[in-house]
Amino acid sequence: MKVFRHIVIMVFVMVLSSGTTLIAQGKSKETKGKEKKEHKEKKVKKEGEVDGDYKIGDRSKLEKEDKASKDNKGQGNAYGKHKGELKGRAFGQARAAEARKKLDDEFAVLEERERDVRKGKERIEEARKRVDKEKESGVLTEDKEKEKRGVIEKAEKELNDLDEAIKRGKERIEQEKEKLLKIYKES
Amino acid sequence: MNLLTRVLLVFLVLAIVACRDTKKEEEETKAALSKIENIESQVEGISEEVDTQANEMESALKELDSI
Repeated sequence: MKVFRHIVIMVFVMVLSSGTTLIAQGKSKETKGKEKKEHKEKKVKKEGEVDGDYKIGDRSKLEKEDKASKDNKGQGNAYGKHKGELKGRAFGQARAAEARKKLDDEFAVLEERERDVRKGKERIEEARKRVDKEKESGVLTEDKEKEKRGVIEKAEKELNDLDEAIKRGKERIEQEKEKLLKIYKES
Repeated sequence: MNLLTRVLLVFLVLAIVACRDTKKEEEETKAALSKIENIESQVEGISEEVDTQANEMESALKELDSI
């Protein structure tokens, strides 16, 4: 009986000591989380200062800087670790919300691209009219006309490819949103 | 079994149960996070594809303006 009591006490002490170690590790992780949070806040401040015009085929400066800073500094999003004061399930929910925002942002970018496609179509139509006019007025040789029509066709092909890529992208984003919703409900 | 041993045993069982629950939750969170990361990488793939295509379209349109 005495031996049994001794064993129980020893195991209890071991559990207690391992618990203390875990808490100590948790604290260091929290500190890391705080540092990362501060870094993120600085990044947000920097992004707030940036503004620029949107161009076709070019993302906003803000997104570019964000990507560049990630590539250069190798600072991730603390995936799988503590996010500020959040832990476990709450952290998972926060990450899911963050991912959802990314999906929404990307969807908005694709809609912007659709506007670019519409503008591009107008430009192609204008170019086509220009060539027709030149042909009618007789200033255009056959070779030159062929060359110009080739350029128009190429632009049209690129435009259609982009249109297809946008449609595919939108469909995939919708699918990913559904997946995310499932994860959000499960977690 | 005296009172002290009983109390210690109860504490021990509680500690083990608490640890197991945390581990389960951590595993679930880890799985969810890896799924989320996968989704984000998919989104990055989409944006890269569209960006490349948009750049090609822009250069084609510039060429178009020069004719």
